[in-house]
Amino acid sequence: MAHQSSITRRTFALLAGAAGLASKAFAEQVAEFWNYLGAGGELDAVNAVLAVASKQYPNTPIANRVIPDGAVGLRQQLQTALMGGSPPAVSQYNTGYELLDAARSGRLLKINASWDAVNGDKIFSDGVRRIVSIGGDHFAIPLSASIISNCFYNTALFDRLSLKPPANWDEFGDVCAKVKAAGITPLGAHSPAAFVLYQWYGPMITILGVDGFWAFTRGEIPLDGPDIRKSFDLFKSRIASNFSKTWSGGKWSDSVDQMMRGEVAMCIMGDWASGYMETRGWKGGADYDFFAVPGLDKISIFQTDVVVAYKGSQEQTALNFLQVVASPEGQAAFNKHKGALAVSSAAPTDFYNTIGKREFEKMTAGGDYIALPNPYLLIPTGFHLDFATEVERYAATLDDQSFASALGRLEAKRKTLKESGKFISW
Amino acid sequence: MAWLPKWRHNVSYALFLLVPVVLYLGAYIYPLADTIRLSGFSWDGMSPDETWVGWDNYVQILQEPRILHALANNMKWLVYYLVAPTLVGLGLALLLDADLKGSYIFRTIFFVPFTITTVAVAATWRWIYDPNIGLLTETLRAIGLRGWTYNWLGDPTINTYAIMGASLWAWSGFTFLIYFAGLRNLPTDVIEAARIDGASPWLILTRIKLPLLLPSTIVIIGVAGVDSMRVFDIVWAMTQGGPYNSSSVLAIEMYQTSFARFDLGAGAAVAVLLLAVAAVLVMPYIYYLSGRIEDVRE
Repeated sequence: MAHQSSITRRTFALLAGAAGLASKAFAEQVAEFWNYLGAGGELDAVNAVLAVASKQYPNTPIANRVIPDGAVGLRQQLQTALMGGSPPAVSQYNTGYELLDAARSGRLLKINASWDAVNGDKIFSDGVRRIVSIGGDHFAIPLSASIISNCFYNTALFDRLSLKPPANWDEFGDVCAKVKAAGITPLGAHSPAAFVLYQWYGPMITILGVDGFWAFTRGEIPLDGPDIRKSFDLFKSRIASNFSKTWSGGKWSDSVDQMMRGEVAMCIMGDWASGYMETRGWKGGADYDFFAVPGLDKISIFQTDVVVAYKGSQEQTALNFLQVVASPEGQAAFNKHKGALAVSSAAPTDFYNTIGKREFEKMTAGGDYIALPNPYLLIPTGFHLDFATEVERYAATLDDQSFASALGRLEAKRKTLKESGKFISW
Repeated sequence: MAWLPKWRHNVSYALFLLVPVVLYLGAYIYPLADTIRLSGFSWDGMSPDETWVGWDNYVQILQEPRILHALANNMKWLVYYLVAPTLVGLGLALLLDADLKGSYIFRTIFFVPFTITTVAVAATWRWIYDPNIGLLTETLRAIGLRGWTYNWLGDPTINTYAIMGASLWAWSGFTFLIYFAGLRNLPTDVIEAARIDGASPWLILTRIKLPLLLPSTIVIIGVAGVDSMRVFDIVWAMTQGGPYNSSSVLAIEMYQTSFARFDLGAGAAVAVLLLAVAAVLVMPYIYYLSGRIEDVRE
């Protein structure tokens, strides 16, 4: 029995020692940048900007941590980490409503000093500033911008059918008709719902205009009203009715693959499609090209990933990293590999391919040219999913009656959210 | 050791039980209790404050068509899990119970899919189900059955069943293993006696083997019942519950509500709903079948 007691004491001594070592190891963790940029060029992009950070701030190292499952998976991990009192130093984040929600939680660092140090008011456009700043305070630095308002097309297919990029909806309809007559699907499409919603933006702005765009994000447009109805009529006649029969359930890369195989002529998609095609050996301007979706010839609708910093024990490391992200070197390092656009007007432009150059020039042209943020992220969380889901269902079924009922239900939700002050004046 | 005070024995037992009890309380009881508590609050998961809302989360989720649709899908998964892998596993086990030459190779072939991770199964079957260039579509076209090609994962009327097909391929290995082990442990003298008495193979199967396999069946059905309620990974990996929530299940709605809609209170309410459905539908059935084991033993 004495032997049994000594085993018990020894066992507990070992356990206690292990627990102590674990605590020490936990306390000495390197600062991390949490993100979901794990695919191909995205991973290279993150590593490139981290390399710039380690060069500029060698005393505050920061490591990469890729979280699977996109924004939802990242959110889950962040919430768990915050509940456990060990958030990362910095993380990728969505702008708009999600950023507002995080800022209101009090978990994010206000970065006004860093913003001023990088001259944020000058280097970031008005559209960007509106969605990363809340009530005059700044909470995020934009990392990259992806234009989601372009229509990519297979140039060889266009040449074969003697087609030219359309300039308006009538010409777009003519192009689709000719492609269909040749036995080819005019437009690629794919799930999830957000990607379908992007294809509605052209019709939306054509009918509502830029003022109507902002009114929509503020919850001021009745969803069962005539303007929204008209925009969806245009969406159905020119866009959704030209999708392939088997589009729903597919991924965005499936659409691009189909376009590259010549089974589909065009894809309205973010410029990550351009990066995807380049990694598969296609050249922008030669094998594929793009035109602005009709109604958006002077408008660039963009989606931006931002970096936020968390209150905690690694704030200085976080602020140093944000400075790097905003710097011309950081913006160039990241976007060169990602195939997206730098958000800072101070970033160099020599790394863009043909496609990127044209997109960047349009986005930063000023004057009549406007850059608008993705409205999907500007409307209340949850409502944005409901709205996009019904648009996806409509695009798949083309059932006007069901969609009218759905819009009625969504309108009731919109009113409730508007009355309770959930919509934001961006 | 008999000379030691009794309390020294009890202290040793308590010390060794301490770790598993703490783990059980911390990893099971506490999260369960906290989830039930959280379901009465509104919380976005980020802010330090939670707002008491009482039953509002339950009223909200039970009025949402997507939640009710997900519940209906879970019922489909329940029927699937109870019937399909059970029958397929039993059939495979009976086939290989004959000890034919080379049957051990097939034992491995049937079991291997169960060892593959769900994400790999999902990725493989997404490719098989691709409506344009997938293996299934190309095979059907090649044998002249073009009319039988569908948008397997994109058609809301069939996508859940398509996912079940992928699950069946992976899950049948488990049920096959359980039934095969059960068959190998059946008393041979009873079966021999029946054969000598002139019982047909069908009679031996239905009157002797299947009743004696009831413990194996209970294991399988118990696991199946639980798995049907918590099915998530294969659906998420194949369709993410889409398109337009058509293949969603309650576990996915719980996940989406909590981390995509930033409503952890409502997400917790979905979790409690899932628990209640499992408790009402699955557990009584398990207890009933467990009671039948005694009848079989007698």
